[in-house]
Amino acid sequence: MKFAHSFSQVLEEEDFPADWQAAAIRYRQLKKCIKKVQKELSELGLTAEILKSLVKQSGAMMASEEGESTPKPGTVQSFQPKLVLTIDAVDGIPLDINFSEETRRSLENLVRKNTQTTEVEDGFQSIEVGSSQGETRPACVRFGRSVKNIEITLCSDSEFFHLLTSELTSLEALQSRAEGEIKSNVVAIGGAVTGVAAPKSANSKSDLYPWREIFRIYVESGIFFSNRESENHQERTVEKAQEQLALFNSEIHRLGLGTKFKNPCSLHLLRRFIGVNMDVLRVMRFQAINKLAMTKILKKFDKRTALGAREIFPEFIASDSFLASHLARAICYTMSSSLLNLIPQLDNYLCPICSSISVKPVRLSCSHVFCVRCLVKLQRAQKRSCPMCRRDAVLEADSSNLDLSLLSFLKEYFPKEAKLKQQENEREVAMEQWKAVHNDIFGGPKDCVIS
Amino acid sequence: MSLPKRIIKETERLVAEPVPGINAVPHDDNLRYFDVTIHGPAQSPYEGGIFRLELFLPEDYPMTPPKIRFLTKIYHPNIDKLGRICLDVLKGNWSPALQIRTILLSIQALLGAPNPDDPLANDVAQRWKEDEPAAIQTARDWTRTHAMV
Repeated sequence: MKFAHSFSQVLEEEDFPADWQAAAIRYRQLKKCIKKVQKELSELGLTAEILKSLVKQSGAMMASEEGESTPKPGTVQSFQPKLVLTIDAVDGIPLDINFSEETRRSLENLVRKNTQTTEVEDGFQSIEVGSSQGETRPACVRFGRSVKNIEITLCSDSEFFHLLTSELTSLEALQSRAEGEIKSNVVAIGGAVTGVAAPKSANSKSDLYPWREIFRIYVESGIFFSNRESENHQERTVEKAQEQLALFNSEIHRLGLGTKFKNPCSLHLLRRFIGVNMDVLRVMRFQAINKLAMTKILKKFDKRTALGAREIFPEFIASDSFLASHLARAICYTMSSSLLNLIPQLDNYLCPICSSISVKPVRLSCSHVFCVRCLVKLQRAQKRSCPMCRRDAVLEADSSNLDLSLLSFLKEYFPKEAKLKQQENEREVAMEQWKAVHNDIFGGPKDCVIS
Repeated sequence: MSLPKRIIKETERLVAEPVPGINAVPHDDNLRYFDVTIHGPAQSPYEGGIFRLELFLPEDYPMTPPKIRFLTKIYHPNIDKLGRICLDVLKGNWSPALQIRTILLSIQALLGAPNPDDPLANDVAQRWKEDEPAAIQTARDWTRTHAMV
C-alpha cells in the first residue's frame, strides 16, 4: 500500500479532532511539489542522476548545507534556495557544487543584504557575505584556472520547503495547544484530588488511601517512561505506552479501587485521570504518524532530486519540540509535580533499617532519619556511625532528636501504618522487658539448659 | 518467628528487579538462606565464569551483616580456600542501611579489582604480588575448571 493512502487512512480511522486532521502533514501536496522540483531541475538539464554525480565528484556532499529558515513558532521566514555551481570559466566544467546557504546566520544575512560572493580558496570552499557592499571580489584562481559561480534559483524547491515549514509550524502550534490543554487538565484534576483525598481525622469520607494506591500503581506501571533502573528510565514507544496504560487500568479494576471510594466525586475524577492519559497517547500517536510522513517525504525528495535535504532536516526536526518525547516528558513532569506528588507515598518515609514507616522518627545531626526502635538498637550495640553517611552521630542522639513535625505529618497522612508500627514497637519493647525480668528471676537463659 | 518486613521487601525487589549478572534466590524452607550466583566481571580473569555462593541472614540482620561464602572454588587474593571473603563491608564497615543487593555488588566489584594488599588467602596474595601475570593466568585456569559448566 502506498504511504499516502495508509497515512490518510490512519488519520481518518483514529478519532483525531477536525483541527488535528487539518494540521496533519499534507503528504499528497508535498508529493506534487516534489514532482515540480523534479520538472524544474530537468528543464535545467539537471536530473537527479546528474546532480548525484556532480555532488559525488566534488566530494562536497557532506559539507553542503541547505539553509533553512529558523522554525520560530508562528513565523515562516522567506528564503530562496539556490543551487550554486562553481565552474571553470574557460571550459565550463563544473568544479564544485554547493548550496548557497551554509548556515542559518549566513542565510539571514544573505536575505538581508542580497549580495553573495562565493569564493574558492586553496581548494576549500567558504562563503563570504559581502561585508563591504559594491566591492566585487575577484574570482579565485585554483590550479591556475579561473573559476566562476553560477547561481540557479529553484522556485519549486522553495515552494516545497515553504510548504513543509508551514506544515511544521502548524503542527507545532497544535502540539503546544494540546500540551497546554492537557497540562491545565492535569492541574485541575490535581486540585480536585487534593480535595477528596485530604486527610481528615474527624471526617471519615477521605479517599486518601484509594487515591494513594492508584497513584502508586500508576507510577509502578511506568506508562510513558520505564521505571526500571536497568532500562535507564527509557521512553516508551506509543504502542508500549498504550499497553502499560491498559495494564494500569486492569490492575485498578482487579483491585476494585473504583469501588473503594467514599466520595462519589472520586470515581468521576478517576475517569478524568484515565482520560487525560488517553489524551496524551492520542497526541503521541498523531505526532508519530506525522513524523513518519515527514521522514518519508524527505526521503522521496532526496531520491527524486538528489539535493540532500535529509541531511539538514533531521537537525531541524530535532531542534524544535516536534518530537513526541518532549510532550511526554513535559506532561509527565506536570503529572508528578501537580498531581502524583500531592499524595505522599509510604516508600519515601520508610526507615532504611527496618523498611517500616519511620515512627517515631529520629533525626540525627547529619539529618538522616530512622525509626526510634532501630536507633535504640544501634545505640545498645554501641554503633557510633550513621548507617547512611557514617558520621559519628548515633550515640549523641536523645529525645530532642525526635522530629515532631514529621511525626505529626506521618500520623496525618499514614494513620493506619503509623498506628500499626506504634503497636509493633510497643510489643517489641514489652518482649524485651519480659525477657529482662525473666532473666532476673531465673538467672538468665543459661540456667534453663538441662545438662 | 515471622520474617521481618525488611527481608520480605529486599527479597521481593531482588526478584522483581534483579541486578545484572547477579542472581539470589531464597530457599523455600528457609527464607533467610539464599542461593546466589555471580557472573565473573568482563575483562577480569573470572570472565565467563558463574560463581555459586551461599548467603545467610542472621537473626539480628540488618544490625549484623549477612554471612556470605563462595561455594565455587576461586583463585583470588581476598577469598580463601573455604570460600570466605575478606571485604570490609562484610565486617567492621557493615552498615544496616546496606542491603543484600549492595553487598553482592561489592563482591562482584571485588572480583573485578582484587586487592592483594589486604589478603585473606596469603599464598594467593603472595603470588599475586610476586608474579601478577602468572597469578591471573591461574585465576583464569581455575575459572575454566571450576566455574564453567
